[in-house]
Amino acid sequence: MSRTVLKSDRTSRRALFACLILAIPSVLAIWSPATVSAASLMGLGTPTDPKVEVHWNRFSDTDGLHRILRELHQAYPQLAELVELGKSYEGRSILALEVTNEATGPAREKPAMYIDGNIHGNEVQAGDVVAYTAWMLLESYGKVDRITKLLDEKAFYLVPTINPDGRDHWFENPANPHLFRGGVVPVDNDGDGRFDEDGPDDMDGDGHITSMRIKDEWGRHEPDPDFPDFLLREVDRDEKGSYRQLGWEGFDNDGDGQINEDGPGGYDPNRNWPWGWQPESVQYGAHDYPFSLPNTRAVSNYVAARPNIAAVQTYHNAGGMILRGPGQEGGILASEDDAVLRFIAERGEEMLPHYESLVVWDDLYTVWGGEFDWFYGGLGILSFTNEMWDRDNYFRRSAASGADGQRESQTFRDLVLMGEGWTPWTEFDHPQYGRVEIGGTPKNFGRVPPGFLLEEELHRNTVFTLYHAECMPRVRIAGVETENLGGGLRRLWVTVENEGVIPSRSAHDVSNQITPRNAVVVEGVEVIRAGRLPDPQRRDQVVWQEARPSRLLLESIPGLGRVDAVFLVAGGGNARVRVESSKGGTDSQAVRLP
Amino acid sequence: MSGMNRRPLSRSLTGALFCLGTLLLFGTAAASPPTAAEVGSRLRAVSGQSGGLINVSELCRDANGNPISIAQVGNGDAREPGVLVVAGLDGRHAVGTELALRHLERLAGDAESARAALGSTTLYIIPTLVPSASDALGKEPRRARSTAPGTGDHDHDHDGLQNEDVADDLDGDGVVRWVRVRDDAGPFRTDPSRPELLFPANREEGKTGQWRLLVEGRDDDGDRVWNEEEDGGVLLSSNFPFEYEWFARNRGFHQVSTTETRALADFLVAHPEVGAVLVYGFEDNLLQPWPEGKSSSPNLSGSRWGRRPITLPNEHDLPLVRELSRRYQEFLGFEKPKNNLAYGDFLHDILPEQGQPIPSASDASKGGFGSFAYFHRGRLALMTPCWTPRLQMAWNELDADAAEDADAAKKAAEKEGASERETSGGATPTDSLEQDGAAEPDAMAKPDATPESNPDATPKPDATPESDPDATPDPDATPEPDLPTELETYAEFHDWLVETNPDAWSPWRSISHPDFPDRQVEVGGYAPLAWVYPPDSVLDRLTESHHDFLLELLEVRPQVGLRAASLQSLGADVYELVFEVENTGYLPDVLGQGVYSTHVRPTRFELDLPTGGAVLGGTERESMERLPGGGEMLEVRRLLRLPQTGPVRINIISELGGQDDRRIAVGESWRRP
Repeated sequence: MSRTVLKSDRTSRRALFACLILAIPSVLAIWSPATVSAASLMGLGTPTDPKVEVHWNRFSDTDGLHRILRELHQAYPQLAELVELGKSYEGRSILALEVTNEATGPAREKPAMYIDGNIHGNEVQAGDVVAYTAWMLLESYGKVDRITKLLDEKAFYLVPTINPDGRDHWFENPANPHLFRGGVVPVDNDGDGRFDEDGPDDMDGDGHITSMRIKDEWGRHEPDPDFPDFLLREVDRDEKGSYRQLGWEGFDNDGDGQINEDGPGGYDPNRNWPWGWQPESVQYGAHDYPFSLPNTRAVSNYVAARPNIAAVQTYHNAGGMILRGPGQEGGILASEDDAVLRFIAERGEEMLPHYESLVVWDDLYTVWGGEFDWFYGGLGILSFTNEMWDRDNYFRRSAASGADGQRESQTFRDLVLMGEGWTPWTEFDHPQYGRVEIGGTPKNFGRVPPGFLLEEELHRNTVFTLYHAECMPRVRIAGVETENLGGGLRRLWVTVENEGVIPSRSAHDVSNQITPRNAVVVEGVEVIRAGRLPDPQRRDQVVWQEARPSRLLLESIPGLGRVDAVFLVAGGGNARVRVESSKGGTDSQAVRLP
Repeated sequence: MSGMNRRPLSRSLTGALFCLGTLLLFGTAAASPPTAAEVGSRLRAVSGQSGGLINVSELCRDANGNPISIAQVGNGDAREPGVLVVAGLDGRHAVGTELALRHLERLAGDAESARAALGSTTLYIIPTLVPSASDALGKEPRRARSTAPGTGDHDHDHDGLQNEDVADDLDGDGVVRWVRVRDDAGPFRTDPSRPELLFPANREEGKTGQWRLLVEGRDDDGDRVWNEEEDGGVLLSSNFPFEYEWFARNRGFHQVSTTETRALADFLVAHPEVGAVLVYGFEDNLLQPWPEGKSSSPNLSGSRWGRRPITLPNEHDLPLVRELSRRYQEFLGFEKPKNNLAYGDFLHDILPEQGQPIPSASDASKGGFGSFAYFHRGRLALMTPCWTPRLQMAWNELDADAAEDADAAKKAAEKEGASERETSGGATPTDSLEQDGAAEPDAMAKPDATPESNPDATPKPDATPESDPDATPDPDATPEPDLPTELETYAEFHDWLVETNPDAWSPWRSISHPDFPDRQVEVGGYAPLAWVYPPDSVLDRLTESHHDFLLELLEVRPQVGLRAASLQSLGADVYELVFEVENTGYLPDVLGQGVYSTHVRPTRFELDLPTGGAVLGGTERESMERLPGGGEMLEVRRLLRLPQTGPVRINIISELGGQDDRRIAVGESWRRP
């Protein structure tokens, strides 16, 4: 929509507004003055007149993210609850904002979506996006119908960072785009009895851990002809180079002849989850055993106490991916569940240009003990991981790879960032190597989007998760019919439905009996027998449950589907019919048996 | 390996002294599995009596707040090796708990000898991690419990209700036993000659079922499933990460999901000096050795990408563990290793304990602590059920042969008028048999007597599943005759058990069961743990052999140190430092699986040079290659520049084999005497 159209649209709204003020003053309340302000107009999709102002073109450290949660909680106490999951290794809080309309029922009685981010400390926009989700939900409640419905019927457990130590070390300390991926629990990576004694060093004190290179006439690199002040290119076999690359900035701090071999931490918290967990010999970074780390353990305890979680999203960077499991070849993903995941992911590809729907082990790499694999494999919950931000967004076209990709990045720095995003090479006398040059990519280039593109990433990913949330199961009693068979015998026909796209128990859940089966319960009258109808149109065909007829157990209620039950009841009176689903919520209805 | 296959006389005498000391200090052995309170009081007693040798502390608390104790025997120096004994991960394995306590009582009973046996090693012993199981066994109605309490909310039938159907003491005798229900579709039958015993019905052989067997109780929730929430906590012995079985009963929310298993895993991580773990439970590589020839030889070079989980022992470790299994069986009294002492599959089927069969060794390894310690943490893990029906039958056979031979020898001696001369059979009896007075020398020299066999029993291909068909037999070993068929073993063991311990069995008695009004229902059968907890006389014999094996385990540890060193001038300020590092222990400094696991640090040296000194073309700290045991040696040469001619200190640091250091002066050449 062009700017001109917007202006004319605003003019006609003003005229309409004036008429309404004169004619029907009571309608005034439904109009927010902000939408018709002469000074500004909120762009569509962004909450109007927010109570909590946030600049979404910058990244926040842990305190900053938590400040947003606290302010949202204060602004919307009836819609949000602040909960501490636990503490990190260094004692930082891991906070969740639990968002739902309490007036329509507590969060734990509603289907809920768990969303977290930033398990890798350096993948910072993965934390901001969860705070943005909280902000968008709360600031839009009562204004956007679909969001109002979401918070009335469902709940969100939003944890912006589950690795606050890694996040803050990345913010506060010299780093590069990849450093502080794990946490800071000490690990003796080189097996010498010392812990974290030889990590990278900010040799030139510029606040970044960039790269080292050394002039070497036998080296295999030389300055790139297009960007000689920035890049090196690999020479051909028949060429001699002039430089050798030495890796990240750093000294041999412990005198063992190696450089940067035992830095802070030295594990991967996204390999510490129980499903498919394998030890360090098979999976780098697995740590000692599943949930051996304080932050992963805190998430585990939090999730265990919330069996109503019916959908999961975890956020990472980068690459523009909507990932689903399994993490390893031969891992479990039931075909019925995969079909639902693929469907949701395909919707996501529309919402997230340049993002691809992928399978971790097949399209990316093998992961043993990854987080979202546990949510599906261990708990039976459909889950995604999004790798936020992709270089395709530099010039809105498929990005080049290899050396061409580096040149393209450099062009983006030149043309769009006005030269930002690069640390010039400077000479340095290295105690082990001699005279070297230090320079290259600072920590805030490459894996994170530039500020002016950040808000778009946050919004598009958020609406993808909200669509996923709309797909969560929601069980209802769709119909109850009574029938007097005479002789004191009654028949009660009950139809229960699932309003969500996702089944009330996933196929993997049903095959392994992970969560309790769904139940249709009849109370207040004596039930003689209960059964279900394989075909709702064929009341003459009933599969009777052998015992305990007041509690008819159902394996699952299909997505946008129904299950029909029949109860034989002795005598009449007032009864209550209830449907129970740990993931799809509950519903009940009073019935009079004449 | 030579020289390790012996049982020193001093140890026998020490054992006898321990026994006497134990009796004086702690009285006679308990008549039934120790309760949680008894475990606590016995631990306090050993701590108080040991003269500072044993310190008991709290490892953690279970979900009900009961303390879980760990005893530290020795000084706890983390620079020196450690050995960990863990028992009571499965509440039913009370025999392990009792043996663990008896180890402590023996060590406390003669602290001086114990200190000598330990050397610099620290021994850690955890008698039980499931104290609530002991309480369930001691409180009426008495019942067997395998699991730790967990969250306390159990919904094994996934019906959304918790704890709604547990066992009941139907006949009010104070014990939860068994109910058998007449049912032609049931999985059990009886033999006309033994109507009290239930055997699995084998329909393939045309033998139909006659009985269903249930844990004593009613169908409290009317779902036609009986007692499905009984014993519903977490089976700690299956809660560790190695081949963890997701969604199987009592496995927990995930691996290491309980306070107890987490505390144990954390202990192992926090004590990297613990190089060997002895597990008393249903995991097994001692009574049932790891099969020969089935090992892994992982590629250690290159990236970890593409690696798959490893489930076979490392090729370097398999021979060592098999040799230790042989020694274990020798301590039990079997001169030649046996492959048929473990629980067999048939016995798993007919020995359900609270509805759960005793796991086979391979099942028990799934989620097992010993398997975690070995496969994931790279520590030597030796595992044994300690006592099985087959072991008992083999002992009975051994004793009968010994008695028969003794009788024959006596008669021969009388006949020859040479009653004071011992029969010379050429073999040396084991100490435990000497102490038991149950064997004569030539009893060990003779092949085992051929057991009675049932001509009607058709041997099945899988009749002895514990014997590994792929195992290559020792060409020097005489093949062992098989024990009787499983069925006969069962009946034979039953008779022995009831004779030895009359409380183990309650005859079947008819009752009226509300859920089976029209059927013949009988209550009775075995008392809780009758099959897995031996009578007192057997406990004494087990204690002897297991304590000897524990002392053996202390002896075989890696022992890494300097053998020689010299520092010679090459002119100017340049010197050549040469030193030899050796491992005089039986075990290597790092197992093959230890290297692969990456969790055992390699042995390393660190040099302290005088001021201004430097290593030329090298570094002062370096990791070394793996050092196999048995005196294997590595030589290190370094060029040093020493402007000041002070001594050089060489530090040798082995995570599992101890530490050593020595100062070498310029011009000195030293060799360990």
